Amino acid sequence: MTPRPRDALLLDRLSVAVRRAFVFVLPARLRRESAPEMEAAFQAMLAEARDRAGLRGVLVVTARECWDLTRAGAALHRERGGASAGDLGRSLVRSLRTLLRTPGFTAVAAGTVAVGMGGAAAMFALVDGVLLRPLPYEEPDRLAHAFLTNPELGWDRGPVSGPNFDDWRRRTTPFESLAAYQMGVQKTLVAEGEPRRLVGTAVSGELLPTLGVAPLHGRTIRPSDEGPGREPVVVLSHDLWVGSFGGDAGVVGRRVSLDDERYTVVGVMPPDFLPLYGPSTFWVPFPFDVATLDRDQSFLTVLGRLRPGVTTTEATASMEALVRDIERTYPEGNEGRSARVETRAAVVTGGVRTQLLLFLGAVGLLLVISWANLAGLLLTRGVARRREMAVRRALGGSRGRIAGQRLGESLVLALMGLVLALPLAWGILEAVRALGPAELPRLQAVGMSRGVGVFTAGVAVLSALGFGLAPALRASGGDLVTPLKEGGGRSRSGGYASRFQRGLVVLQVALTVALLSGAGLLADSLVRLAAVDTGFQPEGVLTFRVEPPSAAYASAEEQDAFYRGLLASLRVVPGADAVGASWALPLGANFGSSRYRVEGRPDDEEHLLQLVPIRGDWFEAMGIPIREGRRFRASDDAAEPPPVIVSGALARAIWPGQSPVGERLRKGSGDEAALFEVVGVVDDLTMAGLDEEPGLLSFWPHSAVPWARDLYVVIRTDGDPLALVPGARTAVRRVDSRVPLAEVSTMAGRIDGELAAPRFRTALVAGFSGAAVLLALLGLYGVTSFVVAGRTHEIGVKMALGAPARRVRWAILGWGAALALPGIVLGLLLALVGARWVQGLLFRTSSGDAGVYAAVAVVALLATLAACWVPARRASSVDPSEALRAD
Amino acid sequence: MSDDVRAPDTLPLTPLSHAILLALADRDRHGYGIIKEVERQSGGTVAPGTGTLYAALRRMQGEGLLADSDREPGPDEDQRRRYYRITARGRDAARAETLRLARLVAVAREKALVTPAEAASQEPSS
Repeated sequence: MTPRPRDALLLDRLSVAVRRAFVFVLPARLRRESAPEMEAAFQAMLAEARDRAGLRGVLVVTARECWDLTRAGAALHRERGGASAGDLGRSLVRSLRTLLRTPGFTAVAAGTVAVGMGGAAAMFALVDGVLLRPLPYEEPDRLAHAFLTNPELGWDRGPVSGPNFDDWRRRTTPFESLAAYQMGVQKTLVAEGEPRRLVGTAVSGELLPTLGVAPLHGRTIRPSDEGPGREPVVVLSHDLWVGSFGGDAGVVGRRVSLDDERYTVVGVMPPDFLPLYGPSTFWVPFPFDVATLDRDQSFLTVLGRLRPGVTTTEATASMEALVRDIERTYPEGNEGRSARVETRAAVVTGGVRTQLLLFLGAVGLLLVISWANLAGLLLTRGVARRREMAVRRALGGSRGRIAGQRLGESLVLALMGLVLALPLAWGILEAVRALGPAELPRLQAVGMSRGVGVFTAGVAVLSALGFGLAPALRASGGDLVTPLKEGGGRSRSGGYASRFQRGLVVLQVALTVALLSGAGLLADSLVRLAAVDTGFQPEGVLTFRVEPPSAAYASAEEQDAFYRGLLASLRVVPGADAVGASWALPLGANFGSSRYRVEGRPDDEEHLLQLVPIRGDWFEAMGIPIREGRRFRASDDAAEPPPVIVSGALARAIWPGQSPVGERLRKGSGDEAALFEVVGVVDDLTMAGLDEEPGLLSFWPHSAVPWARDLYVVIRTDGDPLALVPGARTAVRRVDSRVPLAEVSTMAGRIDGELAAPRFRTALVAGFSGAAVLLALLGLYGVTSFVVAGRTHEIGVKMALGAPARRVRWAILGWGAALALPGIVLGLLLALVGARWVQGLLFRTSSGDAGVYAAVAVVALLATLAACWVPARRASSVDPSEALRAD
Repeated sequence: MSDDVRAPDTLPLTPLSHAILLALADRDRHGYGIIKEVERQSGGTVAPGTGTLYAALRRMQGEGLLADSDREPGPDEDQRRRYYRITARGRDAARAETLRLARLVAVAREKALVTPAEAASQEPSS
């Protein structure tokens, strides 16, 4: 996977920056003499690694280089008679002892590091597993999808029809081999006991060979398996093989019954074979009978292996030419089409890329916040130990040694953090795996790999520098006299936070506000998405899918009779108020579409209608009101012309400002034309997805649409819809015991499923923001307490002179607010700039939403006051005589 | 360090120093060029990072085994690069070390630890 140039540039710069931090491990002389040419050499290594192995190569080379610098630096210091490895160990043990003398401080500090590092480790594992690791196919870089596009209709990844695909693979294309598949093919397996409804994939013969994954047993499906009249064969997934056939290798060659048809098992795929999309438990050849397939019925996804050296841009250009050529031969159903080729990796990760980068960005902010927080803590502690440091230096301790020892303490803290961070990361990953939406590909393969461990260890070392460098330099510098003169007691000069300390607080507040703003925008968008008017009443609706076995119900009449009996049987289930069935469900996104003309208008005016065949009391069961005209009725089956009901959006699109009832639609032209009469209009319905506009929907009596074999049953009830399942199961069995209930769920549950992805990312970013807020609060509290503690004497004097407690309190709160305000402003600016990144993830929320930013600012200000409240209280309750006597 | 402190008879060279001298034996190279050549010579098994390499380069310069080359980076090259050349002393040291290794290889062959074919299979591909 070659990263895009902009990413590459950013990543290179990041790698160079990280490496620069490690250069400081080298002795000053080598650094002075050779740093620039060393960096030049590193950049050349980096460029080569990127060309050879992409993002992963860059990461590996950077990690190896940082390790090499550390090792070389340690060796050189040792040679120069500095610390030996033994010395280093001893000094680390000494640091550990120092830290353990203040267990409270150490626990808070290690916990702080762990929060940032744990989050970073978990997100790295996620990004590595989903984005960086190559797809588990042979030469995955050359696998690419070819899509049909229709710029006019806004399709950019459209499916391809059987005849069109057949033309593609017969011609010369930029692909070495070209394959097609249809996802979500359902078949009933009758093995032992209950019939099982399975979801599988129908594939063209080239698909499995194109992917280049060898089967575990037997063979895969071949080109010779497809076409009419061939013996039906099936390849099993590893799960199905173990689950239903006991993992018996002798299954190859056996015949199994799928939908009452006999299939010969020819192979079993290995356990780590990654189905192309969603679950797939079996693969069968797609029945490629070009004669019976419609050129405008597009439902195939096309995947191929590009010829070596061909780029997707070149491939797109030649596929566009091919599509135009086919359009000239078969204009019907191919108008306005173009093509587009995208790599498989881009398709798999494209949708989640922004989201994962958002997580990585959020966790990066959290990491920096934790560093700033800890640096503040260490500085405060450093002030308390100023006298100790001054005594050491007065006794001849070199600045380098003192700084080194303080850095050692930071390193020990970071290592303690590492020990806590790894289980934390594991926990976060477990939660992500449990809650993560299905749209995150390869989620189950994500885990705490060795790579994640190495990365986290690297982050730990970097963290030690990140939060430890400034306090270490400060501890070793400064004048010697003041701390020694002041004595060991309370230090008077500790009452003022240094500019650097205040800067750290501003930084923390700013980054926290930025993170909080991101979470706010996502939450606002989630609320809007959940509040979308779907056009139907989802509460109290049970849904499941049935498919009558094709062998038993071959003719349209038999199929019709089956569904009549089924609905009649379901109507008498206790609790069922209204029963209907349809070929597609709202939010299912799986429905057909076709072009129609309007009677009485010119032939060149065509409209693409989405088709929803329905049956029974579907509108009542779904709770969709009829706005105009009427519902379907029993006599409609024989009505001439056949009736159709349209959605409000369709009515507005074709008959703006007038009633469509009584108008007629036309399919075809001339004598062959079939007419359909609009008899009713229903409210707008969100069919494709919550974030989609209401579609141009047309509803048809199912009896008039025999190709829609399998239907979703919907049952409305007053009580809990799931309580109806046993009754419904019995009712279905009464009609035909071979038909199982598939995809049993409630309509409310389906909506909930739609919200899973946005809810997941909102929860994750909100979780990081929550942690950030806690850290920032802690930081602010720490600095304020420190200032108050140092000024006890001054406050005591003021109060002795008659300053009221209230004024003292307000002064401290004001001091805290003055510190937080620049942070808040800076954070809001940061958020405004960064929010453009997340715009793509937002639904009807602008990335510049003033309400969200105002709310964040108020929350941040309140949190600031809360953090300063305790120290302010403490300050105002100072007993003047106590404070003065302590001096 | 002056020349008489470390004479070429301070054998053996470290494997990395030897590899660097070999890399410079046929032409002057810059740091990245040395890394690539050392990697090629070792059949991809040794690839020093910049820290290890420059620590060795500076030490070897101090020992007089190599020196700055007169060659300057070309106009389309990274201007931060510096070229290194092997000195006469470096050449002597590399030769001596190579002969020492050759002697050891001969001993190993004599004792049938490696076969001539095995030894030949280690010859680098260009």
